[in-house]
This record gives sequence, C-alpha cells and structure tokens, in this order.
Amino acid sequence: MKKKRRRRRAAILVPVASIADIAFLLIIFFMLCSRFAKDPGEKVDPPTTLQVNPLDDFPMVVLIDKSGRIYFQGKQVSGPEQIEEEVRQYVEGKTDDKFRTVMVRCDRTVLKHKFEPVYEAIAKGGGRIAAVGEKSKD
Amino acid sequence: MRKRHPKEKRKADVPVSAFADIAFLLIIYFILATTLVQISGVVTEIPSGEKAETNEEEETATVQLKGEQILYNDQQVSIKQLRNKLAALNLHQKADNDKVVLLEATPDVAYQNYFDVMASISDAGGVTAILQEEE
Repeated sequence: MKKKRRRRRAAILVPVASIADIAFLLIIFFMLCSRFAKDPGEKVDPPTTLQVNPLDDFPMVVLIDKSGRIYFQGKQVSGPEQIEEEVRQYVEGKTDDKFRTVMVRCDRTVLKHKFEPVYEAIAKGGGRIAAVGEKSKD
Repeated sequence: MRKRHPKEKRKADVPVSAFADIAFLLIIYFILATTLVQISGVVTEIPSGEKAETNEEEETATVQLKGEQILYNDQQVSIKQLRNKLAALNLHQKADNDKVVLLEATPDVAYQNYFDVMASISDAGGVTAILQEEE
C-alpha cells in the first residue's frame, strides 16, 4: 500500500499593521465630519411645512420637549427669562448674524403658552430665530 | 587579549495588532456620534419691540390662529390660500418697515400650525411680529 504523504502546512501570516493605519484614517474622516449635538438627547418630533431651507450649524440651541421643558445648550433652564439673559450675554458685541442666531427645536405638539414666550425672550435678548422643521411630503 | 564576542542583536517587536482594535472602537464611537442628516428649517427675525405703534395697523397684514383655524385679515383661509395671499403682497420688494406681518395666536395653538404659518410668512419675504393678547 502506498503511504500517503502529509503535506506540510504553510504558516499564514496576515499583515495586521496596515489595518490600524486604515482605521485611523477613518477616525480622522469621522472626526472632521462630526457635529456634536448640543441638545440633551430628548426626542423631539419636529413640525413639518412645505418651505424649509438647509440651516447652518448655529452656536446657540434651544430645545422645548413634549412636556414643555426648556433647554439651552443642553441644560435645562428655569424659564424664558433665563433664555433672554443667556442669549443677551452670548450676543453681546457680536454683529455677525451667524452668532446671533438661535436654533430652536420644538416639539410639534407643544402649545403656544410654552413656545411663544421663548420666541419673545430670544428676540428681546437680541437673537434671531432659526426654527428647525422638516419638509412635508404633500 | 580577550576576544570580544559580537553582541547578539535582539529583535524588538512592537505589538501593533492592538492598535487596530483601539482604532475600530474609536470608529464605532464616531459613527454613533455623527449626525449625517442636514438640519433644515426657517430663519426668521422677530422684532423685539415691547409695544408696536398702532397707527399703521390698518395697512399691516394680520394672521390669526384660532386652534386649527387660520384667519387672514379676519377672513378664514386654508394654509394654501394664505401662502397665495402673502405671495400677492410682494413683500420681497417692499421696504423693511412694510414687510411686517402680525401673527396672533390663541393659547390652544400647537407649534405645528404656528410653524407652518411662520414659514409661509418667511417664504413670502415677510417679518413676523408676534401680537400678544391684552391681559
């Protein structure tokens, strides 16, 4: 009987050093593309309308959640008076519209007595409003 | 004289395989933290005056929101009709003072309706001025 010859297994070496390079390139890409959210992570159902325009990344963000809680730069505030004060402090000495603009993210179900005082507070503080909404399908 | 033995060169291997793990963990973090969605909305400037002069009020367009109802100069309209009426005002070509559109709302108005009207005013070239109810 013929004896079977055992094949010698070749050691397979996977070059892993370059994987790290690729991964770090991807990290740099994501770091440059990232825009960190300035809201507290509350789920907000935005209003819809036919005419919306793309908005820039404005430095000030006000959020009003479903239950009417108000947040400025991710931190809950006591009321519109605090928003007015915060906006006034931020806007002071700034003439560029970009730095005067406050991005307002408000839930579509919030009633007027909750959101209108915030709008007025921003206006009184010297800010401009960029209301966040989505384009309606119909 | 003593013969010097050549020093045996040691191989220094830097373990690089862990780098990839760290890098991929960072990638996962950035993928989860990144928002690729373009934020859209309406930019509007609301006059900050405490009380507006009312002598020119008959000339100023007024939009009232009563619950789900929209009234344009006391006439009930749909949102589509409102857009057409505001477009007919040619606010884009008017002076800043004449661009003002008064917006009044009852307390039961939801942000959805308010935003829709505000977007229509802004799109027509108008400036929204909030009218407050007298207490």
